[in-house]
Amino acid sequence: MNMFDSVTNALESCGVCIDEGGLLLLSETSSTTACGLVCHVITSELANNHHVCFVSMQHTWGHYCNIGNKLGVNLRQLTSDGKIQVIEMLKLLSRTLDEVTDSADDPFDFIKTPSVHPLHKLYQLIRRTLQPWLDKNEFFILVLDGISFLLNLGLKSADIHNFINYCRNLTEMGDLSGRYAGTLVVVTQLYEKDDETSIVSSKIIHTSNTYISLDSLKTGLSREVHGNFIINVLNRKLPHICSPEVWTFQYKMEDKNMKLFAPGTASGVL
Amino acid sequence: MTSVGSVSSFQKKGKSKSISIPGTRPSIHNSQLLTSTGIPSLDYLLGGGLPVGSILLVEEDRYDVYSKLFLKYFLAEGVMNKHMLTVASLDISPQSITETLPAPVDVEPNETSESFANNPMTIAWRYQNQKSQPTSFGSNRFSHNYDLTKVMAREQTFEANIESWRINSNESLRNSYWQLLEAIKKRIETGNMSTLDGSPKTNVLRLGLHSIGSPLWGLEYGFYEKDHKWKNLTTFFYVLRALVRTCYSVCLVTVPSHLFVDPALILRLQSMADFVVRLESFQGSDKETNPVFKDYHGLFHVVKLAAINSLVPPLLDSVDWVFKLRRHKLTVEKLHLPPDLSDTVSRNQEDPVRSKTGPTCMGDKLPKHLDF
Repeated sequence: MNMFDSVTNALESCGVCIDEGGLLLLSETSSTTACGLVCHVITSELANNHHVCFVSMQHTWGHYCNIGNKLGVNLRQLTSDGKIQVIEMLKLLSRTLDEVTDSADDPFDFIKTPSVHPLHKLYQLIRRTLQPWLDKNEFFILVLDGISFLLNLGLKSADIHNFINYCRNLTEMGDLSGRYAGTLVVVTQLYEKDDETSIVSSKIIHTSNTYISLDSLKTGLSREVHGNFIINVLNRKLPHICSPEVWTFQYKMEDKNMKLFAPGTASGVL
Repeated sequence: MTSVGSVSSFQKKGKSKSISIPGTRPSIHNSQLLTSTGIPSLDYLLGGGLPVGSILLVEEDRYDVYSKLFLKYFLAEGVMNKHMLTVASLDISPQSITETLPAPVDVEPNETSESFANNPMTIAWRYQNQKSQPTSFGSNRFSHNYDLTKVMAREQTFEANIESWRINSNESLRNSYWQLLEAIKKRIETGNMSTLDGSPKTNVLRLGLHSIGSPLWGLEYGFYEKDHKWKNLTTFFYVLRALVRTCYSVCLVTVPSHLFVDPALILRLQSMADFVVRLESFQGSDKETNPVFKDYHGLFHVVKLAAINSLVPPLLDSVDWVFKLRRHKLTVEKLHLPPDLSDTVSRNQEDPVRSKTGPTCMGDKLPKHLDF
């Protein structure tokens, strides 16, 4: 059920391992989107028989299901089977306007009444969702898609960073053998002229072991190349490696595929 | 390869629910239900139309002349299809927008063909019969035709389900953005438009929000962006995105982006909208007198086209777009440089070989026309 072959090959050759715990960061810019990559990560983990907890802040879950349908993966079915747990922020957010809301449950309570720890309730919601898997010691990945969208609600980058640290701790609550309970996957938006998004991203980069950035081309738009696909891997287990290994690819999104190739070898060039 | 979740190719695709909402049609590219913006050329740019559940952000031109027209087309299309409408503005009264919607006409006011018939092309004749627009959307268009010189009849706008939102000054304690969100939410509930309850829908809610973020909404922007002076505006947009995604609605928002000091603000708004276009009018700029732009009224920047329910956004065949306001209609076109027909630039057609006599050493016997 591997979605995009060239992405699988690239990640394998760079030694990126999603199911070994730690933090994987994906970043997108205003003209690139990590949707395809997120779908790829989810499906490859499901194929490994791991659980997925998906927190979507940017898109609806239906968006990913429809992409999955196009590529032959029935994400809706897997959701009802309980393999994927979805927390849809857009749905929760539309409920905050209801006049009678149970404020104890509403993670966006802080919009109306300022709070010292605004994301605490969201964390608790995630924790409740993950608890069955934690209890059974089953491996999961926790995907936080579009974390920069929280900035729009007036949160500070420090709040978001705290929140991510908490989520990171959840994935590190493994058994005594030192195995991780799960992997944290974070998707951020990076806008060049927006300082706060870059602060959020750079703080997460610091704690991540793999960072994949989808950058747009500096020279503008191209029909054959949609952007750069840069993989940074920092292996923290080896003490003598002090700088991350960097691989650069270029990518092109097709209707049902994501194609990676070495820089300068786009089909339009060759 | 495991069999988990893989779909048999023999399964029936999609649900065979035969709901047809007036003014909508399914997209060819994905399972989206599309609505028209009222301007066929804009529909074409958005990949056939504006999908239900999406936001179109229009960055206003400096004097808000043309962006208001885009909004009026959008609302008029809603009136014609008997959609539910909500109009909000603090800059002008919402009634003044709804009272001056363009009138529907049976045939497309076709000014371009007449003007072409009168002046035949002097160069590149072979393109005489080609339209400057791709004809593909001409055949499968689903919007109505409007005439800007006439105003829609009062009976028609009276019959339509229009809500004009005005700020409630008694409730000055809470900010105006939140009031508008609550009004939209109430509208969704009374119209039973939410997708969360799963009932079949028979109508679409059109939200036309004019000049959101202008100074009248409260001085939210400025030099103190680090203090989150505009957090109310971004919160509004995020909640609006949430509302629009969870109900049968389409939304057109115009914002005066030239007033925003901090570039980060418009980037945030763009990231939350699905389609973003920026109007750059030639009014008052030096481009007004530039002969290149003499046929047009402004540049139409397509800033963002979102890929909804698919991996790739609608593909455009050009990057330079312009809009043109004729007497009867507003269109978006590809930018074509005008042919330069003045006498000074015309190339010397004389053959250089012919004009010169041959080398003198050969005498005059050399034939003038060398036959190859």
